[in-house]
Amino acid sequence: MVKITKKNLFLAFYICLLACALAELFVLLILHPQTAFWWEEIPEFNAIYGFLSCAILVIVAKALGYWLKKDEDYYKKICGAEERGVRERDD
Amino acid sequence: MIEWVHPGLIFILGALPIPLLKGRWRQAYLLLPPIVAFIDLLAISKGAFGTQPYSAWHFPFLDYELVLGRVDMLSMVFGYIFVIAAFCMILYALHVESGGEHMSQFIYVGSAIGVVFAGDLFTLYIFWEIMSIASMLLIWFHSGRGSREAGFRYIMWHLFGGIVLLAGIIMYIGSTGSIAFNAFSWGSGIEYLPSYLIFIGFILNAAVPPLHAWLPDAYPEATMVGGVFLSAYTTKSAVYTLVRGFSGCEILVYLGTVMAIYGIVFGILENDIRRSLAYSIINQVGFMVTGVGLGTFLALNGAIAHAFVHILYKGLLWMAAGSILFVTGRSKCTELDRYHKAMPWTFIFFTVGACSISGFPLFSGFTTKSMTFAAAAEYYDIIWLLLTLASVGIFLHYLDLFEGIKFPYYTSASERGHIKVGDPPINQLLGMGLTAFLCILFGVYPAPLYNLLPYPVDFVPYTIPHVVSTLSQLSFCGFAFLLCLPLLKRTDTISLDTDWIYRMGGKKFIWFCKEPLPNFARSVDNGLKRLIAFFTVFGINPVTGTRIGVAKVGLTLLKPFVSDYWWRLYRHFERDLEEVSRRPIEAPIERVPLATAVLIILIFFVLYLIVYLILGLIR
Repeated sequence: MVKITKKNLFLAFYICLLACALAELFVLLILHPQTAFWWEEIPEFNAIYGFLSCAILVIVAKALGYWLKKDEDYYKKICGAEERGVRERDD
Repeated sequence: MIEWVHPGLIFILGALPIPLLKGRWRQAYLLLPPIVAFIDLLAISKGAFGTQPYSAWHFPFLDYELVLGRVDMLSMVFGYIFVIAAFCMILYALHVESGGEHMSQFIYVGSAIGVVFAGDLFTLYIFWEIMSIASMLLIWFHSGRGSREAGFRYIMWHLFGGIVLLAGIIMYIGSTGSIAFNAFSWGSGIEYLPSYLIFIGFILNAAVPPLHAWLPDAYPEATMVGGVFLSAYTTKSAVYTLVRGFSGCEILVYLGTVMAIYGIVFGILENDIRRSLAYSIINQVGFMVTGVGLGTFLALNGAIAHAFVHILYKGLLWMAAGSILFVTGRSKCTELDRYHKAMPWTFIFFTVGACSISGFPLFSGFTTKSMTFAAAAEYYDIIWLLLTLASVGIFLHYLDLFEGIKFPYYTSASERGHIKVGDPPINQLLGMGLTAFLCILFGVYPAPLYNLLPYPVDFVPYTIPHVVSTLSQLSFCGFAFLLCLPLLKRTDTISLDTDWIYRMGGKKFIWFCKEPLPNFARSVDNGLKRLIAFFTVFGINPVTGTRIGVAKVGLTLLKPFVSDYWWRLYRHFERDLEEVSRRPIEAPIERVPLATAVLIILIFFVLYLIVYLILGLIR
């Protein structure tokens, strides 16, 4: 029985990655599936695109985060003093 | 003999006895309406009910006849999933004590079913508005200032959408003379204005950016159970109306693609689990909206099948998030830590939901979403790439959520300590379990779902290239995620969205009404008062009035130039004003001698003569 450790999990994950990459190559070269676009003929297109999609989204989100992330009480802060009184009474 | 019983009315009328029952009796009763409605759906035949006179469902209204039940393949598939999801969700919600909340849930579900079966625009509008109000109540039952305010913003959005829809409906009826709810004509030009207005009403409920901000704003503020219900009905009934009214409308392809990516990017930024899940709804509805816009049989089938399973797995994810909130009292990623070992079942169900939404093979997202993709591949290349990007992004989003809530993919309990909380009550586990079972069922064996779809299905999801390409995309997305992990640190923040415009704009408007506007009004008021005072004085005593006027104007004009040279003149005006204002205005301060009066009269005569001569010369 293999112990579940961080190292083993990563190892398993890398084996999965390799298996996926090999399977994709196998499908493209041996099965010749019908494709809708020219770029699907590129070897390892899905792996590359999956990787790039993730990276692009993370970078876009991170960049937007600089502008869009605000403190939890951002909207509360901009209330006037009068409204603050109301909130204290309510809570 | 009643030929048809409206399943929505079973829910709405079924809500009435809830306050009369208590404890176990109520819990048993709550499960009854969804079962009755399901049997009803199995029993009813297809057709339009309400058009025949003397039938039980014949409702004349103005000069028209309301059609409460238009039963065809399209309305049936939505009817089935609404009722099935209602059963799972009500099972999940059984422990809730508040009878009012249960009633709101029932009325909400009933009105959503009413929208789906509505055969004419008036019926649609009535159920549409009931749905808005019932869903607002689900937000308000989560007491607290945040929920109250979010509920107000929510209902204002939906009332606005409702009014736009009503305006469109009235104009549509005015131009066509028919109230039937079928596909609307579409094109460019002012004659299509009714269609545009109805379209805006529909896409507002489908949360299409920029009309989407109500969704991530209000849903996370709903009660723990309310969020589960909200995630299913409003947006999906809007998808239904879009399928019915605007299928093949090209703009929806682009709007849907924007939605799909928008939901992912904002979902990654969020800290609150339920808000993140709310953005995920926008992403998912984006795929459906794209499918509706493509408008081919394959695409529409894809959109409808996706809506079907989406209700299940998104409901499951909201249930799991609700249970975490229920047990721990927290829903922010930065506050959630070390709970995974204590709530194993909840996390298993969450994982099933996440796998389904990411479209892993053997889960329900795989068998449905890919239909839309196959349809998109027939016409649009860039759109296909963007949709695939968004689809891979979902997996990233959920990996990120798992990371956020510290799911144990590489930590062990001993490293992080142990907190003694258990799994939620048994009814919540059963509700989640049933939903999770259905998610996997439609992933492994999609045939029953495909048979329900309105158009013939000629689609095989499980082919080797499809499975391999999906797995390849997802696993390498996971690899990229591991590399990007340092960039994805959760922060204790909120993200601004388009609601900033009206929340800040609203504040600024209130400030404008409170500060500059009254000041301006006051200055106008004071100016007018002074003018009137001047004329009063002038009318009673022209001499005093003139002197006051000259003194005031002189004072104002000279003030910037007061130097040694002008000082004496300035003092003169000042003294004059003091002197005049000391006396009562009725008392004339001096008598003009008779000769002066004669002189003034002469001057006027001379002026008159000059004017007369000049005019004579010009002629």
